[in-house]
Amino acid sequence: MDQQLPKHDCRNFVKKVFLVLDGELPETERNLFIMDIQRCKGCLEHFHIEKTFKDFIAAKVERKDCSEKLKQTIISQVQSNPET
Amino acid sequence: MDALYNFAFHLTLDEDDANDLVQETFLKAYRFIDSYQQGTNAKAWLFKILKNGFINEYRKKTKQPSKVDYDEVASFHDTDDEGHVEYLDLRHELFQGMLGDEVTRALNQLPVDFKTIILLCDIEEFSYEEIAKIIDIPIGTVRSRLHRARNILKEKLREYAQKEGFKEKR
Repeated sequence: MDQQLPKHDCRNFVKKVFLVLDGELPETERNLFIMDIQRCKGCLEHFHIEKTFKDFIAAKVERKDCSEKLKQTIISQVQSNPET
Repeated sequence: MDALYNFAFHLTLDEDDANDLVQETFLKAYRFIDSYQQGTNAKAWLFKILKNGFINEYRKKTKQPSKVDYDEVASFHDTDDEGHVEYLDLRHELFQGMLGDEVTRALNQLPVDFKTIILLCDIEEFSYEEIAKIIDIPIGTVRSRLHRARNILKEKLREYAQKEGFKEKR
């Protein structure tokens, strides 16, 4: 499998790690990236740290929901003011 | 509507202002529904209206949120040849003990342009292309701003962790 991959270059990891984590790379390229970083302990460790951080932010940042009162206000405004 | 309200709240940091902003966003969307392009992401369109409303109204009248120094965030892709040393590393152990309140506070302390991009990418999971359209910047700038925003957020969390006595393992 390694024979199909170019020589590992940590700079490539830095370029692509967030593209992978943010779902911005096509699946094939993403899979190649994942295979590639298995060959470098440092890159693999950094990948897991960045992934954990991204997941952590998504999970920990407080979400505020819209109140029912506001939802009803908006609905009734739109309904009563079709020309608004 | 919840996602829009959440975005509005984090931008304004005030429930009444967030209510006004969301209300205004829906009324504008309704009024200008003809400008919505069929087949495009309606949620992204609403976020763009909300973001524009925030910029037009709230930046003017309130405390002028701090802006990003764009010179400082000159594309990191031109200088990304430094390997692992370039970005900040926050070990799992360091932040796992943190509470949501602390993380939310750190996010809310970011300059508004950095906060916005993290909210759009990491909380709302918009693609870079959608984010570029929502905040009217090139995709390359989305990448570089996101990178910078994450590093600043990590730095704030690290400072907080150190202050609170978390042990950093580096």
